[in-house]
Amino acid sequence: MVRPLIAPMAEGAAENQYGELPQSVRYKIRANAAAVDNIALFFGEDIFIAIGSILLIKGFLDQNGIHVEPTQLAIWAIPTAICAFVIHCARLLLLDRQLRADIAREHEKA
Amino acid sequence: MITLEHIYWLSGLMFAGVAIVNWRDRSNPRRFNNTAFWGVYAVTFLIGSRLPDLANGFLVIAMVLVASIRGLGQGKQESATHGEREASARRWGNKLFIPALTIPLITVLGTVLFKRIAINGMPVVDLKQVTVISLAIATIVALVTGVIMLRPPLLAPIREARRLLDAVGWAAVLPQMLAALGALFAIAGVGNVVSGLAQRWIPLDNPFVVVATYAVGMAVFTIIMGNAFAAFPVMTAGIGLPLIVQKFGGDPTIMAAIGMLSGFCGTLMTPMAANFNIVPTALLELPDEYAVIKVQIPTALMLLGANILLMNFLVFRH
Repeated sequence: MVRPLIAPMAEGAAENQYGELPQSVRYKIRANAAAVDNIALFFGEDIFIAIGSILLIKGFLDQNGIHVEPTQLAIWAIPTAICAFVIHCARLLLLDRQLRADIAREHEKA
Repeated sequence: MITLEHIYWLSGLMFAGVAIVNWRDRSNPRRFNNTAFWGVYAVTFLIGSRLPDLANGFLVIAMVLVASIRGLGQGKQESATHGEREASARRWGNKLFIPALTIPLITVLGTVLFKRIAINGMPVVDLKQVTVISLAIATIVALVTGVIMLRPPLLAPIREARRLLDAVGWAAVLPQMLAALGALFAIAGVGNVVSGLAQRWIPLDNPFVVVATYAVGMAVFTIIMGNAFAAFPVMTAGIGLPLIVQKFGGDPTIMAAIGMLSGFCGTLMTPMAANFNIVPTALLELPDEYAVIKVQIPTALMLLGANILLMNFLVFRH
């Protein structure tokens, strides 16, 4: 997902805004693209009930005599998913500002 | 009445099909390993409920031996060429999502409806397992929808199932095996040992301290093992169930849901989870192997803190 899609799109968006990118900025954007892919996957997937982790939780609790609904497990994954979204979006906004500063510094050098 | 047993038969038939497709595929150098692995797995689904536990245990050990001696392979056959896929994508456009979206839709619908439908006072499905059974039914509906829409070759579904399962490999059975391991832990009393250990170092008579220990323990264990699924049975049997649920009366659903997500915070910080954290740096040609982990650590730590607070507020509410 990240290599064919997210990373090139993010790099393309940055090029549109700033023109040619220094290599260090490219690396930073790519690393962040991979991180976004992981974070969104980990904390998004648990909202669907048929995912391995939900079924593991259900199986484990069943074996311990506690019966829970997969839908309930999925619902209680939502607060964390929202926190993940807010926290990481805030960091991405900071990243945008940092990239702008990085690029400005590179231009001054040049 | 449809019970979980019928769903096991369905899964067993699918794995048996996967084993047969593998057996006939000469392009896979380890085809007999794959056949044995998925074949034995199929047996545990088809007749596992009627076998003694010991026999099932030996079947699982047989799977482990097959997967560890020379390992599983992958065939090279593709059922559809790149060109065919592109043509199909152009022809169907966004309608291609219909079969995929059928699954969550029917699952949720089934979960709601099956609870209300009864024939002669008997429910149609086992109400304790309504979600999982709905999911299985939804999968069949989606498959039929897809076949009617796209009219692929007759054997395409089972071949694609084979391709996907072999791409995931033995990790596909990990959640089930770890849930079984959790049951063994519970019987063997691992929970008591872990909670005894924890109690020696940390004053666990305060609910907040217990919640924080559980969440941080999930993350740390995951960092060490590289997988939150492996940390979950140990931490939940050791701290979650005896302390949060039994001692302080916390809600097991909320605890387990947020506990697992605390483990995922650990996954973001460990090079042991190579497929998420190290492989992308290679794919993206980054000079620093740890570049992705470094980006993820601040989010993971903040989110772990958020999880501790969330669990502390939500788990004792009832």
